[in-house]
Amino acid sequence: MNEEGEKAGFAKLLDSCESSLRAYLFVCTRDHHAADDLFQETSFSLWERFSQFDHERSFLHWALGFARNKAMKWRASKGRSLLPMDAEVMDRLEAAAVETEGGEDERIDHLKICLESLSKKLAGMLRFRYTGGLSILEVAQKLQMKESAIKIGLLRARLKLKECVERKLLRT
Amino acid sequence: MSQLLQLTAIDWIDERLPERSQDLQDLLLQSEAHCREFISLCRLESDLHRLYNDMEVVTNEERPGPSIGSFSSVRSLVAAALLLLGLGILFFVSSQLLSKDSAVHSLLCSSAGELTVIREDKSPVNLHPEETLSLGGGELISVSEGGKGLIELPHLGKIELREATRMTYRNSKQMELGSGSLFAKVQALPGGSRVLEIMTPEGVTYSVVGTAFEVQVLSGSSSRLRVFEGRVLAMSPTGSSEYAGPGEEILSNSSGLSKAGVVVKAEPHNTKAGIDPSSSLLEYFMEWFREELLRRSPVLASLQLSKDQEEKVNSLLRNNNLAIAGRMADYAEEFKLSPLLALQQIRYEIGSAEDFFLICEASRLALQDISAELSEVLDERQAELYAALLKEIILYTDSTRGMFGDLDKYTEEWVRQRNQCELKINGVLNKQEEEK
Repeated sequence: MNEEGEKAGFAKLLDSCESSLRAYLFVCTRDHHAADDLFQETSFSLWERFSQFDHERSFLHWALGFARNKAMKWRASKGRSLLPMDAEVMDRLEAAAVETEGGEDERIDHLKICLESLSKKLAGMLRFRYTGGLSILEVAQKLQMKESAIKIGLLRARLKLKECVERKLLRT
Repeated sequence: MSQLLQLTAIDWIDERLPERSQDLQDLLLQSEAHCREFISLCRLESDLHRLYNDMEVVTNEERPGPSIGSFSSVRSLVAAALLLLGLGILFFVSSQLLSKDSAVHSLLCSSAGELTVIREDKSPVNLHPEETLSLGGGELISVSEGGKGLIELPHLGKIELREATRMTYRNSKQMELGSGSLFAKVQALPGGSRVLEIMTPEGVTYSVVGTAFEVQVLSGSSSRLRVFEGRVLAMSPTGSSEYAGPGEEILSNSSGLSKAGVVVKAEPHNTKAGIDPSSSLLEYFMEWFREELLRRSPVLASLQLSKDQEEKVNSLLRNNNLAIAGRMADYAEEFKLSPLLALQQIRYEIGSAEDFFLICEASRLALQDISAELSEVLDERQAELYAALLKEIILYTDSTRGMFGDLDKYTEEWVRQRNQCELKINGVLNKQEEEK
């Protein structure tokens, strides 16, 4: 395969597991920005080693190994400010990510459509929460609502979205 | 329970409360369904973050009409094109795999002792050490007492047949183990597809996702599966099923399937004199060490600590560079592994079993060092249990190090024979490829 073909193949594979990798990195860091940075770093490392990738294996499985190393280094750099991660939990989550792999290309598109089905109120909460990265308290202040109402609203919104995306994925 | 998980997970995502983290980990250890649910929630969380970020970027760059709908249609086209491309690639990869599999047969090699193969036309073939044979469907393989066989599955991995084993080879993905035991190391396939199926006389099918495991027929009506790495799904003829992951075992008998953690320690400190490495779990355990597949240390203790005690104990351990983590929800109380050494981290950093023992030794010394401080945090019963934990580590590290030396000598010959077999197999495979 020429380099261009190899690059295209790599990009496609990476695209196909981006959501899972980002989700995994978010679990490790519980910080979206750190997860974004680590995703970039992981992508570089994966590309550097792409020639060693066995195409008969799961790309996500392979990539999760890199992501885990990056996340562990990141966690080590944070010292004791983070809670310890249980290795068994991480193993199980990796397995769950691989097991539920699929439909990643469509997921974002489905999510956009599902967002449109939310009430204005719930959509507003999500927008404040994610666009500005506001805390629950800050969202509550912006919308002049109780903190508990925001928490419940966000919970409902996410569960609705999750259900909606999963339903659409099943159909496709 | 799922609702509790959802609440805890979303609380964990939104809030920064440390106790939520522990609650969440406990819930995740309770079932694999929880892990799948949690990953699914985290995917949504990451996707929402990405989506709103993308929309923000589009808005900031003042691109026209950043409505979700119009944005979606372009992306949908791209997604559809990618999907078609993906399906094409998937078809290509699958067809390549299938064509490779059909062109190259599984090869059997005798790595020790004598093997007999009853061919489909019932004609027997005797294989002497280092001799190889191409396997066909329906052939029965019999390994003599003291013998060993190695099967190379085309593009999938290897199966080692232990002594006194009988197995019917159906194809490279299906085998029936009649008696004895096998150890397999196979590759995981994309998307968690099943790699191979091992059926046992009592009708259980062990469906393998990957990657290192052992199946042993204990008698005509029971069998045991031990997973070293990857996952295996056991399905009984009654319709029940169980997944086993690294370090877990499933016992199948007339009362159904029961799952437990592999008590890897197998009391090695008591069995040193009478150990038979050829059939002992310790052999696999040590091999597992060598290949750096080890996930957990065989330290048994059952400690029930209050939150406050746990925090103090964890802080003491962390300050002494001791990583003690993990709870196995499915264990019976007397076998509950809590705490155990988190070897996952060690696996990334050490290269050999010897290094591992050094780390165990260091952990033991560190635990000794803090035992006085621990006794201030723990009550009498808990301190007693901690002392038991310490004792386990001492016994374990002392005895296994001794055994490791013995095992080295024993396995030297066996590894040489196996390597010879692998060389032979590779030679045959290369020839087949050239002819093709």
